[in-house]
Amino acid sequence: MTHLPGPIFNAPGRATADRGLPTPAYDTPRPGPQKEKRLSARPTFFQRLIVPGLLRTWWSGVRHIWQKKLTVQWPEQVREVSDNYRGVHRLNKDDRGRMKCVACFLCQTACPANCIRIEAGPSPWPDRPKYAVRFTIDELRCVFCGMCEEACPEDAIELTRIYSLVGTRRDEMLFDKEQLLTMYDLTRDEKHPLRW
Amino acid sequence: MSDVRLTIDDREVVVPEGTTILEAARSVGIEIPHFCYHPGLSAPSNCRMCLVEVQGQDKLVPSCATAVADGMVVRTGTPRVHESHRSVMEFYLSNHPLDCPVCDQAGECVLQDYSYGWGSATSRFEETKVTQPVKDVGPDIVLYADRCIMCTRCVRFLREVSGTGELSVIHRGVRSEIHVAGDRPVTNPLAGNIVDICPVGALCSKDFLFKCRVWWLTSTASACPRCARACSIRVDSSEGRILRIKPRENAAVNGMWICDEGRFAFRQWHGAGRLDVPLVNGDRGFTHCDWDEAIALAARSLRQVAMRYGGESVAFIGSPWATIEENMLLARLFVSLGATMGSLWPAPAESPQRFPGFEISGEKAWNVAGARRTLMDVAGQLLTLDRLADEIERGRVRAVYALGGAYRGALVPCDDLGLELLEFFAIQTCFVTDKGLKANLILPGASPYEKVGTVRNERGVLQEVNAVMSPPGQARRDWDILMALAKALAATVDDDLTRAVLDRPAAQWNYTRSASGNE
Amino acid sequence: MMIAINLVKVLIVFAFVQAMAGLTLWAERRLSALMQDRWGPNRLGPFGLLQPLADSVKLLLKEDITPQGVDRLLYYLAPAMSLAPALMTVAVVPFGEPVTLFGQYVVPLQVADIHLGILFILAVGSLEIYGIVFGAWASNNKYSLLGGVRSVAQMLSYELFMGGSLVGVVMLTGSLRLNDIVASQQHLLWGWLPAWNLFRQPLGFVVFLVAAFAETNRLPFDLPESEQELVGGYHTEYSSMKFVMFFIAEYAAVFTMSALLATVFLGGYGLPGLSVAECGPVWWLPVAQAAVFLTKTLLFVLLFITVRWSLSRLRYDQLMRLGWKVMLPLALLNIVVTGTLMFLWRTTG
Repeated sequence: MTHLPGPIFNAPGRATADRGLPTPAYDTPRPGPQKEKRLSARPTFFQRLIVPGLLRTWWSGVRHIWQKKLTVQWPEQVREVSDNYRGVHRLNKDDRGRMKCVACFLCQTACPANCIRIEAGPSPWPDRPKYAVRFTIDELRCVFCGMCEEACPEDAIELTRIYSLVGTRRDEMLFDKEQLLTMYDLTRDEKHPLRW
Repeated sequence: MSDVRLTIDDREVVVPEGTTILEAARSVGIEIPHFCYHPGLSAPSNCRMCLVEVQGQDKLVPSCATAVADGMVVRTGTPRVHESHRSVMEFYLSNHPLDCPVCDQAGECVLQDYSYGWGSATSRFEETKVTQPVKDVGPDIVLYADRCIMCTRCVRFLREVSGTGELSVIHRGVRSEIHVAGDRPVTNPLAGNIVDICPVGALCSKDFLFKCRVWWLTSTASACPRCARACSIRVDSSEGRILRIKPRENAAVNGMWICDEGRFAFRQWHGAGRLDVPLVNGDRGFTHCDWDEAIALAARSLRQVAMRYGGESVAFIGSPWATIEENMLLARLFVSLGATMGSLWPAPAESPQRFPGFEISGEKAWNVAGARRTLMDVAGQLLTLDRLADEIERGRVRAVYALGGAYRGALVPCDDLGLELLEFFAIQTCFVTDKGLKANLILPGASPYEKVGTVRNERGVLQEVNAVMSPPGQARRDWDILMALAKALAATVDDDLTRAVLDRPAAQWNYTRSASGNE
Repeated sequence: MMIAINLVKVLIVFAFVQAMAGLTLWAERRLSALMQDRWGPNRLGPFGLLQPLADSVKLLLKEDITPQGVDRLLYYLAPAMSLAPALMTVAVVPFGEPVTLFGQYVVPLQVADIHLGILFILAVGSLEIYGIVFGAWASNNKYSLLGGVRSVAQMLSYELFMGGSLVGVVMLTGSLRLNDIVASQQHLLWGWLPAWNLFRQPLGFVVFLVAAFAETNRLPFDLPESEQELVGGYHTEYSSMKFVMFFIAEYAAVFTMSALLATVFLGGYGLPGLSVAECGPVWWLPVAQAAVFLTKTLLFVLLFITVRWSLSRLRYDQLMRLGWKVMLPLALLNIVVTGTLMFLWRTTG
């Protein structure tokens, strides 16, 4: 990285061409007549007058009053999040309705926020030696980084697109195994999250 | 035996004759990968992982079974050797379940480590893997036969060290398996060691199974409080709970093994029933009180007795479960009060157990030797409990202060001591036995895993003891209790005393220090 | 009877200014939001109008903290000292022509019709500084103190030409009474332009406007608060009710200053054609005049708010340079020009 992208760092004039580097696309002059706007140019007489400047500044704020608003009026208006949004966790179930988790603790190991707590025990099913007897995620500690998802060798834990997560007490936000499995039932038909 | 000079990886090595190449390499810090070799066992050289190149020999040789020869030139890192490692690993991994995520050994697994070095990310193995059952090996051991790589360390241990030989290999080739005879589960007192030496996750401890991933364990080097041998151990704990205990290699004490009693001794001190508040014996029997009251009561009573009957009417009893420092502080404190009579609780005695490669002491406390010698050194004499009982009966001893700390169920033998004749009796201990103690004051002390200090085992080896955790509830380390008492007594706990104790008696008394070995 | 009527007037004006302070607060929050492409508080009541109520309830329920080492008397007194002048100033501002009640009592539509109105306003307005300085000094906090010091220097500098800028108006009117000043603006210039001082004294208007911003400690002259440098400036240590009083004081001052601007420079309650002389004593006239007065005042309030959310704060040296080197000479120039023009006007007839 010998140069930073962006017109601010590569002002025309002392451009990359001087250094023998290929000229980036944004540095090449656009065809056709154009007025060159330069920040460092001497201001015109009109620009130097204080009162018109003040008025212009004032107007630049005031005209926003009737411009389009960015606020999303939740809860009447629900924000559509992208397919790879990382919201509340869910514990996936396999096609027989059993929890996929094998209690390998890798999510807990990968978790940078230490929000996952698993207690393992002998599994009631023959296809795995152990499974999670308890599985608790502290949604208040979670930073929703998705590392647990990445670490999971069984695709057992995933982050859903649910972002509306509220509680009135701290212990309400400790999601246990049943709650996390319910999250799967709630979001079973959702599009599979896109991750890279 | 004469020395042999050879070259390993361009380094001159001088070792005694008869040493194997692998051990010679280890002695200079060159690690040759191996599964079946174990320094405490014979070497069958069946894993083929330790093959190295020896100049002048066409074939690679198994370094664990080849003795060194003068002028030998060994290479452990040539492309041929690496290729050999890769082939061997491919064979191992072709039938290995690769279930590291659910395997308890993951993180301390030799096979896993070597996979990083010589394993392949893909497998050429297209056939169905041989699946083998989970076998119950013994009361505390389970065998995941799938994961076994047939190194036979466990079989050899049971034949050579414990001499019990419960396990054997049956069948041949890919079908070979570790066999547990139905009527002979592995129950010998050294059985736990086969879990330790298993290089993969095949043999697992039922007690530790699924409890914790090994990378979350905090290891603390300590000594085993279970018997007078005081084996060097490593205590693995997580979140203030001891989860397992493993031996530390220490040629001067325990070699490479520990017994199962010591392995699970932490259960005898920890868990339900532990005393965690000071108890004072008043009109309504034992009641809880806070530390300031308890210490003040002890100090007041001891001072009263000493003033009324003279300092020599106060006696103290040391404990083989307390460290040298604690016993020393106790003795010094009471000698400075004028006490002349001291005693030591005897450790519970059992008959020692001997195995071909290991011995379990019959004296069931870690610091019997250290406590006795310390008390003798400070007090000049040490009464037996019977003598002390006599003195109490004759009215020459009116108050006794004792260290305790025995494990659950090990009653302090104070029934014949005539405690009811005393004006004051206080003891620092971990458990209250229901009717046993006619004490005025019971102070909650620390378990051996909660102590810091030094112990001396029956062979005279001094070892450092480190605290794995803090004592539960309001319980305190015995050292801290004694210091508080000393302060309350305004006794001459001068700098000299604390410094002498804290400077580790090893240096002061010219004890030989054990070379605490590595794992 | 006159006393009772006056008391009622006082109560109405007092309550009205307080209510308008709340409304100004609401308008500020909504407008600032709109100017930042947000919606602002729109949940409580219609258009979020009850938000100031909720805010004050919240602030009242907060813990009232008195920090260690404060000068207690001044610390408790300061919020009241800063609120009182803001409420007092509005007493002399007329919001309609006098009305006759019950056929016998002629009631001027203002709390006190004193003939030194302008001077009273300047005098009381400069008292406001004491609340700030005392609060700042008593707080035992270096940031508060710095805010207080700045506010003294700023107010002293800007009061000077604030008075100066009004001299032109007084010269034109020949009176210090606000009623006279309003009355002198009721005719038309050249038959179409209202004779508001805004048009007759443009320079004076600009200078006074700048001074008004500085006197109310509003951006771009809010150096006494200056959050980025001084935490909260002079009221850093204030919480709960005391903070509310500083808060209300600021908005009451904004409203009062707007009312003054409307009265002195925008013809007050008067519109051409809207007076007892032209409409006769009809019942709706006082209402209409009050509405006109309020509209003009609110225009200035909106100006105050929009300026706050679009202009950035001046640096301290810029503030001083602007005051002493630009505004003061301009105010003096205004007096000279006004006097010269008046002299020429009179001599040439």
